[in-house]
Amino acid sequence: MDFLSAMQLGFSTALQPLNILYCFIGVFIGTLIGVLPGIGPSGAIAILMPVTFNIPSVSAIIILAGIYYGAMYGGSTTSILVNIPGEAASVVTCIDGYQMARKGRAGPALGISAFGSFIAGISGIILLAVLAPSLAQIALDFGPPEFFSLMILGLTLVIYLGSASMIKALMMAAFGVVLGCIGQDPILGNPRLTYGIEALFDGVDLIPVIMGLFGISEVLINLEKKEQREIYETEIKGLLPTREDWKQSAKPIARGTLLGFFLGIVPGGGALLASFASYAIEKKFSKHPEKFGTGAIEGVAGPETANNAGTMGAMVPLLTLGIPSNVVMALLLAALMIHGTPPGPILIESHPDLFWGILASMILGNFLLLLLNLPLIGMWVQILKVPYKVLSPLIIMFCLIGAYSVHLNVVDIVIMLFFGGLGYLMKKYEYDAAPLVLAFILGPMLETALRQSLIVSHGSLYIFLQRPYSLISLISALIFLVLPLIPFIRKKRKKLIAEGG
Amino acid sequence: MQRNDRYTSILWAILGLYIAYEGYVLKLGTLKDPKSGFLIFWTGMVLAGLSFILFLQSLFIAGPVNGKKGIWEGIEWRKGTKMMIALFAYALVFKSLGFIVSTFFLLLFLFKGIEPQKWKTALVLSSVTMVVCYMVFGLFLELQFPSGILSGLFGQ
Repeated sequence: MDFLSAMQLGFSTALQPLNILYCFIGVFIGTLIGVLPGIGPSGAIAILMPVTFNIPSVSAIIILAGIYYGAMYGGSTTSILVNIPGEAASVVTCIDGYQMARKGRAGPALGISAFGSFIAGISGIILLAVLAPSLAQIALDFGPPEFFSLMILGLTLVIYLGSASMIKALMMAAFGVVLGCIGQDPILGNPRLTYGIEALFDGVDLIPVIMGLFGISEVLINLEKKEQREIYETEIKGLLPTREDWKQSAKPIARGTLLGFFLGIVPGGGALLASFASYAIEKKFSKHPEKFGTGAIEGVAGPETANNAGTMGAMVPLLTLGIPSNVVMALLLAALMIHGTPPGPILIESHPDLFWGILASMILGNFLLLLLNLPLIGMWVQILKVPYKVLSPLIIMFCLIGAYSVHLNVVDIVIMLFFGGLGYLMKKYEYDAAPLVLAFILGPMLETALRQSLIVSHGSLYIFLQRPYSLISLISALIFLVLPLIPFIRKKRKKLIAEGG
Repeated sequence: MQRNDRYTSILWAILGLYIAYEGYVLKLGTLKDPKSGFLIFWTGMVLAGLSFILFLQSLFIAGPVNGKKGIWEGIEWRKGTKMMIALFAYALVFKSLGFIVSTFFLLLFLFKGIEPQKWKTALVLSSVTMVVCYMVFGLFLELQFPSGILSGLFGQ
């Protein structure tokens, strides 16, 4: 299928009235989630996923993906006006965005953020449309050894890029793999680690785990502190950036788009890493680096562009290889599998309407987000004023309903609460949840690939070294595991993570 | 944090060894024919091994800045504890009392008991939230919530 025919198919799917509505719902909720601190896109997607079970798979992914990239738009609003990131990838925007607001330039900050995100979104979709089919073609030759090694590389990158302590992150990944083994053996069918509890026979569901680790634990952490949220009271005017603003932002937007997209492809990368890397690069490239931290528009344009491009890049490994590169992609993977459309190399060929429909809807979604985030900025500012003591019970309520709705079983609520408590303790003792969740998702796939590889090779581990892509992946993983042992690199890594912390 | 790592690494090491034991019970098989316990056993051993390394690290490698406040000092822990107890109680009574009754009382507790608000505000917020949740999730999205003690009212 040529590109034009594919996009035609995509738009014919995305522009169906119901899908337009679902796209709007997704990006609206995403913006709301981005604006409100306390729950991120992963929590929101986990809560809403069960309600998408009764709608077609294309529509389900349209809503859920809309929440993800919508949250990137919304997160900048809180960062700029309140100096609190609405979601993790907008942390960097606080640095210069809030300073711009204090100087009476909240409007241009919000404007360049929205326009930059829009440009990155559309460019990222085009890059995705170009790269994904080619990558899928290569991946058709992959077998269990390649997938096993790629997943090991993915997990290693998540651990390397995101965690201050690699040992602790590796421990969480190991624990996640074990959690993924609870339930039925995927090959032999016998129950494992179920302790006679019927509800565990099908394994622990992802949604209660996510809602516990990221939703309930976040509420518990916030309850420890006194709420201090001051919205900078400034008249928001002049949302359209000036010529000078565009002149200063053009290159950061271009760099942010490319950097964000390719970092998004890397497991463990995604929007968060993209925004940090962009800020660091813009500061390096700037003729006036001393202005960063005092309200430099480049410090807003670059990261906000990069985080949105990162969300598009993250779709590449998911849709072409079936390997999620972060927690949100893991949730989208779960959604696609529940709908009977597992992502992977054959997805584009077997379900072209799904793949191209999602791409086309993301183009539509970016247009809708521009409309939602600029003319309606006043509405989001009012929502920001809702105190956390009103928000937190609502977040808890949505988590409870979301957990129950998975299997209509109270056991899932108990599981969520268990992981809520565990997530809270993990945060206190500085154990990262992301490696645990990714390993939990990848664990069963990892085990199946490993056992199939060993059966095919008659027990020889050499099979992983014989295949070129597998060998490259394993060597890369080893390099990333060993790199932190080099003192210079260890210092640089810890500094980067601390800045992001 | 070094002292905390010392304690938590011991707990994780015990858990890792227990997981390895469970994997052993499930049977490891061979490399040619790995059985159900293969990955569980080796992952448990990896977890135990990494925990041991963390323990050693906490003993021999200098930790972060001295004088840093302990992680439990000055923390308002009562609210979180009350919240978790309330949520577990909610899970216990959810089916018997039903969604509407249990949710209303839970929300009332959360709005009033955790971050105190005026009774009128708490009652209004609890009622509105419960009704909106029931209408959106129960009626519009057709999620099957238990009726509990109101089953007579809903004809179930």
